[in-house]
Amino acid sequence: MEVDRCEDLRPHFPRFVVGLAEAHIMRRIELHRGEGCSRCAAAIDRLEHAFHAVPLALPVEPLPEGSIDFIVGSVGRTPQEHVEVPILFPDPDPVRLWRLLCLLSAVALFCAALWGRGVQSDVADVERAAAADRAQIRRVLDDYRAQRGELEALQGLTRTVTNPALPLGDLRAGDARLRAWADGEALMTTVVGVPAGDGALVLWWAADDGAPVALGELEGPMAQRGGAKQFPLPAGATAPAVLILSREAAPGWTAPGELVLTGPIR
Amino acid sequence: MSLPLPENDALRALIARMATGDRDALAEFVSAVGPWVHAAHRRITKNQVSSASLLEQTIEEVWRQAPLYDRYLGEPLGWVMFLARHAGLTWSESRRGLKNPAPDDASAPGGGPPETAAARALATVDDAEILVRGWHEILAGGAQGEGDRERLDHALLAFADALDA
Repeated sequence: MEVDRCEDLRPHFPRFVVGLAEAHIMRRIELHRGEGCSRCAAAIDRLEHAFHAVPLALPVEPLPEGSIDFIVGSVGRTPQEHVEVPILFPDPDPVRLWRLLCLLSAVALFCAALWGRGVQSDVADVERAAAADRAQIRRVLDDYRAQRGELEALQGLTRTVTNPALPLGDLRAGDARLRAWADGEALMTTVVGVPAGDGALVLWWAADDGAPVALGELEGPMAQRGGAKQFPLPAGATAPAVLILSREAAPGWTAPGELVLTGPIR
Repeated sequence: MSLPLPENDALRALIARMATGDRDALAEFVSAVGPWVHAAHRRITKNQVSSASLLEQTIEEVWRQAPLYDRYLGEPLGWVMFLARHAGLTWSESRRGLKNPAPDDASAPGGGPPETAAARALATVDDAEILVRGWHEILAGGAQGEGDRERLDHALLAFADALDA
């Protein structure tokens, strides 16, 4: 139960003023005064005023002769306490407080934005790195597929080359060399060493009983450095036949021009 | 002998001047309150020399603290008498162990009561003697009987009521 402190302590006020209250009562009263109870403070002040008026009710006598001068001479040399500078806190200014609050909020927002920007930049970096990784994976997969395709092509070529029933041709002239083999509907060729010159290099298929038929053009640089190319065979073409590599000065090939290589395929 | 009781407003003005180091104000202050403080110390010490020394101590304390005095410390006269009592009781405490306090004059200041409101109020209090003892002596709680303490309580309350009246 909450005890009414004022009523509880009031009977002890006279002894508190005289200095006869017990220590814990003195302490409680001092604490109560410190809490700012104006009624009790006024009651204690009234009793203190009365108590210290007691000597003023008793006989008095003048001071001994010369004692005033002695005291003034003695005490007047004593240093005095320095006046304490009061620390005054100004009344709070709501407008100023609001401004400060707004400023702090703006700073907090700015810091949060900077932080978010940093995080966003990090996320973008991570996303870029992930995209680069994905692209790299795609490239690796593409390379893998391409190499797998090349491997399968080579395996097919190997099967083709090693097929004894396949018609083969091996045309040579100087450094120039063209190898060819017919695989049903297509003619596979590898060429190297054909000297550069004017005009297009055209490959012809000449059956024993017919006129040469232009299969297509071999690019000059490839024919010089080396390369492979596949040509479609004319319908009904069968070996044995003659392969002709000619250099054509003009378009609209009707018959082989300058012969570069020629040889049978069988 | 009857001396006029100094006015608190006048004492407040003197303390304000003393706070600036004014020795004339100090002389006026000692002249005004000195007899009352000296008489109180005579009753405590029963010794002329000691009471003069205590008066000097009390006035020195007032002089030293004058720049710090403000009205929240209470009326100037009450403040001075508080300092006087503190000095006197400290003196009594310091002499408690001595075998022979050797008072030089057993007589307190004589004469009739002064013409003060305090004297008129004290005259109405039935048990004034315990109140006077309480101001001038160290009344230790253990040594003082509960009956005496209750008497002191009632006397102080009656004296405060009489002063207000």
